[in-house]
Amino acid sequence: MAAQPNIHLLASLKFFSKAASVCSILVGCLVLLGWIANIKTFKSVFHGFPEMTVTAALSFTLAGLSLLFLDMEQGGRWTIRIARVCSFIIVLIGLITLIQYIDQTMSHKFQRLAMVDNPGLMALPSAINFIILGLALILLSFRLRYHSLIQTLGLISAFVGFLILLGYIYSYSLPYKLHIPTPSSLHSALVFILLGLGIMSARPNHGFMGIIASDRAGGFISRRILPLAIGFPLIMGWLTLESRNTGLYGIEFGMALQVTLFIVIFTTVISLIAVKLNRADAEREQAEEAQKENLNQLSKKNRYETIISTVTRSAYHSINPQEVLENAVDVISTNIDGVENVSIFLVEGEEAILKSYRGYPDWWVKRVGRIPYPQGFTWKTIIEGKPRYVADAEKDTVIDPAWKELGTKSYLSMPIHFEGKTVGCININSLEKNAFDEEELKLLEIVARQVEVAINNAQRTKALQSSEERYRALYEDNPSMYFTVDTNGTVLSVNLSGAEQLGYTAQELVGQSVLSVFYSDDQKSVLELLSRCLEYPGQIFQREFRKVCKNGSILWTRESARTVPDADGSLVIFIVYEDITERKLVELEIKRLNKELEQRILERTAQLEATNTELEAFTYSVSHDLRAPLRHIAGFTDLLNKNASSNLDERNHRYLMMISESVKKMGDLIEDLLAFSQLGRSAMQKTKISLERLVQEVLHDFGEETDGRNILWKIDLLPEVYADLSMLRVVLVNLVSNAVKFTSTRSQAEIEIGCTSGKENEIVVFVRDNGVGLDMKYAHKLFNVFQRLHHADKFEGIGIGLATVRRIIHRQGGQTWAEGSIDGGATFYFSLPKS
Amino acid sequence: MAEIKRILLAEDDPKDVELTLTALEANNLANEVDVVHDGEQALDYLYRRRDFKMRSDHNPAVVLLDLKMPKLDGLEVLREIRANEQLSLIPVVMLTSSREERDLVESYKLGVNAYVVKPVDFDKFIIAVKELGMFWAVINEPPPGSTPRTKQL
Repeated sequence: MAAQPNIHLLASLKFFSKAASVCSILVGCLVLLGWIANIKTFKSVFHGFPEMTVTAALSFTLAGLSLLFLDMEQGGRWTIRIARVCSFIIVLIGLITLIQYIDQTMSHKFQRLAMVDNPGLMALPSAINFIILGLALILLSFRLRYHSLIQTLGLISAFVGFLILLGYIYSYSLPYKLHIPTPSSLHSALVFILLGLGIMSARPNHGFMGIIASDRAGGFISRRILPLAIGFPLIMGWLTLESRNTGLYGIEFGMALQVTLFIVIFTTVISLIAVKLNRADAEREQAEEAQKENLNQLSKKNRYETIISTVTRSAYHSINPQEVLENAVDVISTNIDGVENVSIFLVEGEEAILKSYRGYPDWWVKRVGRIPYPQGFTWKTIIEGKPRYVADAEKDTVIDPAWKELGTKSYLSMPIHFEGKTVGCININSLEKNAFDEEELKLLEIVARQVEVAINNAQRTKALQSSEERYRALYEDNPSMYFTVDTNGTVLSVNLSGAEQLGYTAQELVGQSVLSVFYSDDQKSVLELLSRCLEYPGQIFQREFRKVCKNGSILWTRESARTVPDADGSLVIFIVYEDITERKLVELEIKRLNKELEQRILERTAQLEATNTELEAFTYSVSHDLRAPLRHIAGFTDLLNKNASSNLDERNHRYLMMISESVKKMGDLIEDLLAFSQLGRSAMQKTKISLERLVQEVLHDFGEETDGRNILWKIDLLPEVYADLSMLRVVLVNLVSNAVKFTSTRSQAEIEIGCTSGKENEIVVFVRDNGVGLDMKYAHKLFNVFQRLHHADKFEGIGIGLATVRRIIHRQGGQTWAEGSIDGGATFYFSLPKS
Repeated sequence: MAEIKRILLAEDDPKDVELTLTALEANNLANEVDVVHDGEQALDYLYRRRDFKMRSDHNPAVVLLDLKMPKLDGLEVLREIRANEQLSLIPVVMLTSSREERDLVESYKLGVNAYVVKPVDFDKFIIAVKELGMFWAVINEPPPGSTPRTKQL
């Protein structure tokens, strides 16, 4: 351990070192001045004392400079170099002097060593001392090394100087004038001491100076005892000598005095030191005590952090809240001082349930395993939702007897919140009063919050799990069939229905290519579908395929496939398919039936066409071949009538007339029949027709026929219709003709032509008369060919008019019908489509 | 009296022939009528072959064709007449019992000059034939090549 230096002492020592160097320079310079100006005092201090040589003075100056430079705090490279050069010069001077002495020893007598004889040559101890000083300074120029060696050299130098000084002192004190024992000058000795000590003080926090300068007991004692150890014998020696010189007291007394003084001073100093050391020791002990306390605090803090980190980690890593609670009570019970027992309660319905605990006996657990609302401080905490600390449980009124029996003296109860409600609490109890404070409160608050996190996590996990289960159930138990395949078409999963439908187990299909279940002809288009899916992720593609079951039967399915990202980010294709075999079979059957139907229609059409052709041939032949004989009958009857009329009696003549009439009637019948059959065959040209105008035209044509008749025409506003003009004219002519005909018996005939609304997109036109009417019993027969409801002698006509009307209206896409009553007039309707 | 030209009547039904001739007779045109009984004979007459080799080389003033005849019917004869350079200009009148549209259309397409439906009523028939004969045999100026003949009484 690094020495604990005394800052002030260090500064003083450093200052001393500088002062010593300055002194050395001053002394050196003064002596040099003394030599130059021949001032004796400067050279030898006292008269008769040895003088300091010029070389010595120079060496002191250089040594002083060197030390001063080395002492500079901010000395650059140059100061160190100068210091080093100066030091070398000093060593050099010392060595040269030493060599000179050795040389003289070899060739001259020893007594010639006297300074007076050779005033330039310094004394031998000085020379040696300069070498030592120079070396010390050189070493000192290498910073931070050789500290002990440097200080030893400085000490030697100082001792040498001290020895010289002591020589002067003791020789002065002697009653007899002793020959000067040393050729070294007095101020040399002093400066040596100063320089030696200065060098020692140059690095006061290193080497053994470090020990002396330290604030420790060693430094303290050495600083007090060392001066004494040096000073006391010095003074004692001097006193002894002095007493002998002056004869003031005898040697015995001197010794006694010496010993007494020694004892007194040492006892005093030691006592002082002892007091000081004791005090320091006491201080130290106090400091240690404080530190121990600190450490204790630190460990408590560590333990609380352990609680927090354990509970937090548990809360974030476990999905089982019970595990978190166990961890919490565990770590709380072992890490909080003074905790006797820990319990965590959670509310379930009307009860607080003991979920986790440490340090309670079994009987207690049985008693408080379920606490009914609103018993004890547990419920109080839960109801209030605030932490509760009771420092002295004896004064507490809320505490449950079970806790009291345990000897609880203080307790802390911390509510656990979740989603804005208090759902439970953490209790810690101690057998001592005032066991807890603010710190434990905060700690439990954090723990409670972590428990909340754990409950939240558990609920979320549960929700996630149930969602996952639901999804799983949906996937597995769904009657629809699912495949999940990777981008290569390998089956990753298949649901139960999917596998069963094909007669496989899921295990048999997973890992296989999905192609293997498809009909070989469809596999190419399956691949197409999959690549389309991959090309457009997220889009659904649908297509119908055939699958081959394990037993070889074919299944028609409709696939809906889409690419979705998997949990790890890779793409998978999700295929849903439904069995459409039945539908497909029905579809095929429908197709077959349609084809059959088409064929049948073709056949029928051909038959119908053939029939039509035959019918046409028939009517053609009727029109030619039936008429010819008729014409012959008519022709020859007529000729007979002309030629033989004079020979015939009236009756025969009438016969001929009747033949002629019948022939004419027959001719008319044939004519109408042909016209009627013509209607079905002629081409239709639908145009927009103004019914109003058409009616007017038709009525105009009837003008001649109705001449002399009293007919009241009522013509409503009539719309435009879309029909074949000439055909529609025939219809109107027929209906108007009928109306005119059947009202002929009426003195005042009324004929109305109007229009009523029919079904949607339909126009209904009617022709109403007040004629003889019709019997509704036979209304359905009205529109048949050659159907007559009245006797021919009453009304003319052959019964083809309404058949013609119906035929035309049917061809236009409309309907015909009639209303009326016997002698109550009749209304004939026809409908036409609007477009 | 104006010059009477010859008329060719092609009619298979003898009763019709008689009635027609009677009607013409009433108008004093009967003697100018040559009667054939089917389409083939009509063409033989026009081409002067077989039974009609000895016939004079003049074309008739008008040909009255019944539509329905054995062997070749009226339309086929008409087509042949119009196809032949020598005969193509002869006026042809179609005499028929029917007013069937397709017959009418077909006849006019082939270039018939008139189309007459024989009325059942004999009086009307007489009038029709009379007018027909008068128009074609007397009033109408035939094309060149049908040399007129003086009436032989």
